[in-house]
Amino acid sequence: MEVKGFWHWVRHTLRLFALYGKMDTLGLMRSMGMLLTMMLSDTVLNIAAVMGMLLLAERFGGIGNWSKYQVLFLLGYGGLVDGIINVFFGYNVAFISRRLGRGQFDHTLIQPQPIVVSLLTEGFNPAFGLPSLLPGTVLLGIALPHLVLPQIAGWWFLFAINMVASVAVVLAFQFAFGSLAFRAPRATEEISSSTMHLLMQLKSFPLDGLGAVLTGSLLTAVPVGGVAWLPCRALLGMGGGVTSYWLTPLLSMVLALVAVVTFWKGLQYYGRVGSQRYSNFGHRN
Amino acid sequence: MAVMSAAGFMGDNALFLIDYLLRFLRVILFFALWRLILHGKGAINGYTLSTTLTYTLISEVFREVMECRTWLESGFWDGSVSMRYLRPMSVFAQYAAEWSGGVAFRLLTFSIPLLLLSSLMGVNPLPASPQAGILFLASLLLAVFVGLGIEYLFSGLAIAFRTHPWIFNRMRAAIGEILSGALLPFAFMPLGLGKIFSYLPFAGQASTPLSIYVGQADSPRLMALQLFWGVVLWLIAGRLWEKNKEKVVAYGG
Repeated sequence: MEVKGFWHWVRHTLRLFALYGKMDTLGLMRSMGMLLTMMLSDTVLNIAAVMGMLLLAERFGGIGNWSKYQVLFLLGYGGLVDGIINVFFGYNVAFISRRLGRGQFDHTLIQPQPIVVSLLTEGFNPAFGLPSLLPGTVLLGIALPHLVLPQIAGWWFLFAINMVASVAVVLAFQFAFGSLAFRAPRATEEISSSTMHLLMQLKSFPLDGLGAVLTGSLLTAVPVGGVAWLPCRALLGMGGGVTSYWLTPLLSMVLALVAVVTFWKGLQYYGRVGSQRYSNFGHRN
Repeated sequence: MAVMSAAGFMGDNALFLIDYLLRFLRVILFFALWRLILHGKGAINGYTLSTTLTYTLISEVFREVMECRTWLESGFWDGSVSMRYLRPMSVFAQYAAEWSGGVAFRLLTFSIPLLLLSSLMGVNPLPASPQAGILFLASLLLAVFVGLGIEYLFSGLAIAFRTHPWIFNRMRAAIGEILSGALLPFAFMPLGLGKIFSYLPFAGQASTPLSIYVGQADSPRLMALQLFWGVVLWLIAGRLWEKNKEKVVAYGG
């Protein structure tokens, strides 16, 4: 069998992104009613997700040692992480337990390409996911002019690095927990919903003043802090020192390693027992 | 149906407990957030730190009861709703019965343990007075009446507009969390929003029973409002379903 080189897979991945992007756009444009409904529902959902904290920040002029605009930045950053995950890891890639629990992972396994390429591309939905990027972008746009950012070269580069790391933190957590569905497909089919709900609902919380044990737990066992709080503290100059910019990327690498090992072990188990369940909805087929 | 639904929660094994663990963590974080915000502040519109923590605790303890999520939309999605039309019982009543079984199971396995552990977390689980406790139970029943009415109405709207019920219910759940006061007591909302929200039907799902529990409500007026919204919602939803029953579309099956 011919062994394909690295650049072949890079080109292949880009082709798949283009293909899935086109499919997604065509799917959405089939009906103007559907387009408007999806845009409206996603916009409402994303605004509602940050509304509680937004109202609290407005009411109390900030939260703890976070000013009102710093809270807005935190909410915007978290919203953008959520939006990127929606755009790039839709169709239940980020909710991996659903694919595993419904016996749909066989679709991925029979593709003539590495699993990682499938997982990286199958969830790309730029058209359906676009509205989820807007609230975060708007909140950041409102907050930034009111903030005094650290005078450091390449701040936007650090912002981008931390953003990618935060997305990786969410995906690593989702895959680590979602891998349980290899072993208990029925009981944990929806575990990814619970874990995502937990991360997304708590991502906007300033975790200052929780105590070392709880803060440590929220950066490792349930890494809510890595989604927005930790990177925002660094980017707003509240974290202390240049090293703080690299804490979230470091955290994401450790969590990614845990997720890869957990998923791999689950896959090995699945290779022996397979799945007796199958439901065809909720994924790109 | 309720018993079958409750038994179904056990699934193949006990991994559903992970879900409870995550919920427990969420409650702890909410407590920490309130302590961070309200530390050193006195009562705000009648709500002290202690009252707010109790409000948050009871909101989580009775979350499923107040949310009233029957997941009716799943039946439209996977086509299973078509079989339910063959049974000698209203479709919505079947979903409501299953919902009650699930709620009973979660109350036993999550809510009661959380209530028992609350003192260890420094939160007073008791109502403001015995009278407030009794009124809370009555208001909670009305909250179910309102909540199921909203669920019934939103599903009916989805059928009438021939759109995916999942979209409607997703929006309803997201908006409802804010408008119901389950997450944030209306007393803390800026710009007079709390006052406006208190007149909407969503308030009857959470804010009314919770504020009664902590002794911060004009109980008779709010319960009358709950009753009013419940009756209105059920009447409109029933009419909507009846008028649009020919439009029901199920995917799959």
